[in-house]
Amino acid sequence: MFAISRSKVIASSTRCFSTLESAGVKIAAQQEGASAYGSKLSVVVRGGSRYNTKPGVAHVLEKFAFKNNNHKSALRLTREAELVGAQLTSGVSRENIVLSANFLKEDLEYFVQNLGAVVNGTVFNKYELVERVAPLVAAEVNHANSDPVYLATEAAYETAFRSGLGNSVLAEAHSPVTIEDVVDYASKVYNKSNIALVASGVIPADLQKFVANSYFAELSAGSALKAESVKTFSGESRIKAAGVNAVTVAFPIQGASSAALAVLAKVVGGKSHIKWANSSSLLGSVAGGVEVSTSVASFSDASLFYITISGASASAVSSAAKEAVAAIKTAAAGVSDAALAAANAQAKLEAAAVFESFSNEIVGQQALSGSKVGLASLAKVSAEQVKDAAASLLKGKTVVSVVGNTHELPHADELF
Amino acid sequence: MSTFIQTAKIADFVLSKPGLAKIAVPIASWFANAAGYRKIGLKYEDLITEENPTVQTALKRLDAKESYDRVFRLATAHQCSLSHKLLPKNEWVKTSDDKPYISQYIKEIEQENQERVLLDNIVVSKKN
Repeated sequence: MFAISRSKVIASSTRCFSTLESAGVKIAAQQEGASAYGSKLSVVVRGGSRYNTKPGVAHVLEKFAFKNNNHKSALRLTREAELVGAQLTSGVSRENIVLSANFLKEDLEYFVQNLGAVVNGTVFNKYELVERVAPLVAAEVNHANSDPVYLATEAAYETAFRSGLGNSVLAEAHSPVTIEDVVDYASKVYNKSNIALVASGVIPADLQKFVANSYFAELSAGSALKAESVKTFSGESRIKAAGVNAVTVAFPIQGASSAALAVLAKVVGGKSHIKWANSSSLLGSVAGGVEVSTSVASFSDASLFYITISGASASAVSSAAKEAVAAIKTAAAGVSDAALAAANAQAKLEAAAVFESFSNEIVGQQALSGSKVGLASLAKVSAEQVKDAAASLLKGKTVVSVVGNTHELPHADELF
Repeated sequence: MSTFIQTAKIADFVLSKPGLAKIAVPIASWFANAAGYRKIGLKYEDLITEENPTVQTALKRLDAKESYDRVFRLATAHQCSLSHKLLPKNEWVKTSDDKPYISQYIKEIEQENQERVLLDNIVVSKKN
């Protein structure tokens, strides 16, 4: 037998954020960061694609970050960041736009000013949209659209939620966003009710003082954006495409994801975390050069459990899709102790990794919604809970989306 | 080379001194009329040399309507020049219509270019 001895983890070693407010701006800050010299500061903006006023406007607004603002030109902003060895990044998801800066500890005040100037003073020149932002958006969209796995997942979201969470994260080629749309959207999301600052490796009191003297303090109060209530749907989406075949089997769920679902995703599994090895999960050794992965996307009021299968051979992908549905049925019948223990540990590690990721998105979202900031409970999930979660998935709404050789890939009624 | 930013600075200086403006503005209006470009349907800023990257970029930034109007004025002026005729007097460009429409873009582009040169040659000194 093989046994690992584990030392007890002391709870105080987890990441602790103190939540503050400065001039009406919500802040979550922690003094100890990943490094002794570096700090990171993120602005988490409630304004992801689910709040789109026009398809793709959130994506365009995200790409407008760090462009010319009233206080500094885009060129100066980038060159100065280079000089002090900092990184500026931006990203968009279904719920948030996140603007981040990663810099040396002594530059905190400077970057509070700069991020404040981006949120409060971006001028949104029409020519910048045409010359710099639109080509960037188009390049990102083209790159994403060349990936059948992305297409299948997006199609699954659209079928499962239709509007809101069903909106495509990235812009779409057929709906050009005008500069007026961007200005209008920016005025709705860039205000005190919709942003939260997240910082690590800073002294919270310092940050509070700097924010009070920055452009953040001059933002308008605004009103918190409300998402339309989520409705879930069953359905099927079939997209003809050349190249790799992909199938996504998805289960939309009302309400935020549970720990049991996260563990179930690891039990069903797919691609191994260990290099050059097959995973021991239920879908760990699917034949035919097929890649399988199972994930749970969790949002504030809904979640999507989905298995994505992709591969060059349509017949291998089809049979893997059938195996995937069978795996959930197997899990609904019962889970072995060994598989459960491994899945519990993997789910915990993944939750911790996401919480500590560079973007700080989860922390920001918690601060914005006013809930407790911290890593969600990592309590052990029992076999019974996993079994129930799998059974309730099969009873709920189901979505199947296929991309590739549609004449060979399975229909929804052939899978369930 | 004198840039648009410099020209604009001189103009602002002249206009800021009432005494100077009182002399300069009438001379400027007389000169603009005497130059005769308004009689073949052009605005002053149609005369700016466009064969350089700065103005080419500025031209791309014009609105579709402004850009179309500009091409129309240039075509009219060419026709007048070819046929050695002036437009009928009622079609001359009025002083009130002879407004700047591209210099703000040119100034922005010049500013950006100047800033780029400055930043390219920046010297970082250590603060003690």
